[in-house]
Amino acid sequence: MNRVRQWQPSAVAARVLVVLLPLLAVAAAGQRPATPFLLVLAVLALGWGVAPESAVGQVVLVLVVGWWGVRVADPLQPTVLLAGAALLGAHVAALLASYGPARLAVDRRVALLWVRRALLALLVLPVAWVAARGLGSAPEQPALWTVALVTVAGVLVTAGLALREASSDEV
Amino acid sequence: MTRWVATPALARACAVAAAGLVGAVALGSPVLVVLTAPFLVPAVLGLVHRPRTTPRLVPDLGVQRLHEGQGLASGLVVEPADGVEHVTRVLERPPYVDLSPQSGVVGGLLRDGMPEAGIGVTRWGRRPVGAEQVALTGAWAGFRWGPRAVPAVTVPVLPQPAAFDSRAEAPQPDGLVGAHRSRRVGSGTEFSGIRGFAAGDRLRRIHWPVSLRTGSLQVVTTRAEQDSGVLVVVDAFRELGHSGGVDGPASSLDLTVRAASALAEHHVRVGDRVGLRVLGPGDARVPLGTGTRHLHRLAGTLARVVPANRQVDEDAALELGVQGDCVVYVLSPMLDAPVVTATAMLVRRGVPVLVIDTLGERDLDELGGPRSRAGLAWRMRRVERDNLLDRLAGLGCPVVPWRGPGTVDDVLHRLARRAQQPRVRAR
Repeated sequence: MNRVRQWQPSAVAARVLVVLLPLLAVAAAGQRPATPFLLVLAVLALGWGVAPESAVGQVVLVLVVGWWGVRVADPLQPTVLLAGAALLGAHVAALLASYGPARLAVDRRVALLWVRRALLALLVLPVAWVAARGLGSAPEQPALWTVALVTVAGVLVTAGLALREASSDEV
Repeated sequence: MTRWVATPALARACAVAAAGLVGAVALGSPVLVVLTAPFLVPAVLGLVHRPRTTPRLVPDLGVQRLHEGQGLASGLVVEPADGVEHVTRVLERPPYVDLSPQSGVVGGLLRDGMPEAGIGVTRWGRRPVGAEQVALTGAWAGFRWGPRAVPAVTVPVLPQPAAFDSRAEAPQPDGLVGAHRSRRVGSGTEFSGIRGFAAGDRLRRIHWPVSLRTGSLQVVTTRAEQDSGVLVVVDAFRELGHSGGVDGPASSLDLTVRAASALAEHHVRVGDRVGLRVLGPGDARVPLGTGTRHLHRLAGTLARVVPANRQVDEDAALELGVQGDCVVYVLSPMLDAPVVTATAMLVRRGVPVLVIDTLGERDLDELGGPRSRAGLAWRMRRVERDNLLDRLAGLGCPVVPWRGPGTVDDVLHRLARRAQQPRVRAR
């Protein structure tokens, strides 16, 4: 309990955002999710807030994204932009909280830097949304999905190689 | 960890982006791309900005020594700093070291300057400061180096001299030049008397009014001004009470060391030769000397004083190492028989000795009250000690509690008067 008392307010605020923003992303769908899903998500989000560096964060984000893809009736409604921003916000908040122990206050300049970066990353969101809306109304194009699959595979292999190279380098 | 490794944030961004893309292709659901596309930006840029250097951490405290209550900034140099965006530092807090911020954790962007924590030392001694864990993060929080331990640097913390000043003259000035009035006639400025002119007298010493009145040449004689030898004896056989640092309650050893520092500084400033003897671990001895450099040596020796951690042999014979004529200050709580015996022997030899009682006020409530066993034992010990001090006073050795300015004035005046009287020395 003493350790919790030493947490800096800014670090606590970042953790609160980590917990709340995934739930906001779900709420943005405008439909009520199943209670067990909501409970599991809330518990996992809480765990992510306590340990922002843990892999629970990936599970939370993938769960929300998957729920939007599978359960939401109209996934490409405009509020998906809000959900996308909330998910990225949760990621950035966790990143800010994981720069050090909770006793470390989130530096204002670091926070501003990451807000700018997040806004830059969010520029992709409306572009992707418009493209997805366009694809949704277009007739079926099997070649497009093949190209997408090849692109995704290329990105994944490149990222995997880069990560492996980084972790094997004795610097 | 001494290499750059991917951060959990990079792994998360990569995983979410990959899952979104794969899911979108597999399920044919474009919303997955929409939701995960923003994660591609930090993922790709984090991977692209992987640092390629091997950082080296060099602590830079910037000071060689400190005084109690002083502080410093915990400097640190990262070489090379290429690719390092953020620095996180978690400082350890050893006893009697204050940190600012109190948590000892600081972090910030390296381009804004190395984040620094304030380190304040609150007690004399050799303090290890600057031990910390340092983590470096690359651009876009893609890769992290560390946390890496940076070892502490031991800094001597000099005792803060207690407020002290004295206008008393030394009982036995015996040096060549100094500020104390000598018993001998010499070429000082203090008036001694008027006598008839003799061959060799300087003409400027002729006192013309008296010469005219008496009809023969009369000259003014003055007292020589000499320095004095002062030996400060520090009793480090015990430490009683808890030390709360420079602004807190003082232990007996705190009082002893701070008083010794004050006395040494005062006497060196007035030109006396000052020596130091530490009774206890290390048995440090500093011969008589003078000057600022010598004062630094004395203060450095005092900073190395540590209390003994074993019982003192009550039958042990102590030799305080007093040579020649000098004033001896014994700073001690006077709880150990060897110290009392050695002091009594010095007094019997005719050496001017002044005991400064540094026991201080002890609260019996800390021992469970006056009626507890510990309280009772302490009261009995005090009775024994008072008895010893009375016997010491009976030998002619003054005992005064440390009170800061003016503590020794009255006693030194009396010792100076006594020094001018004929005496018999016991060998």
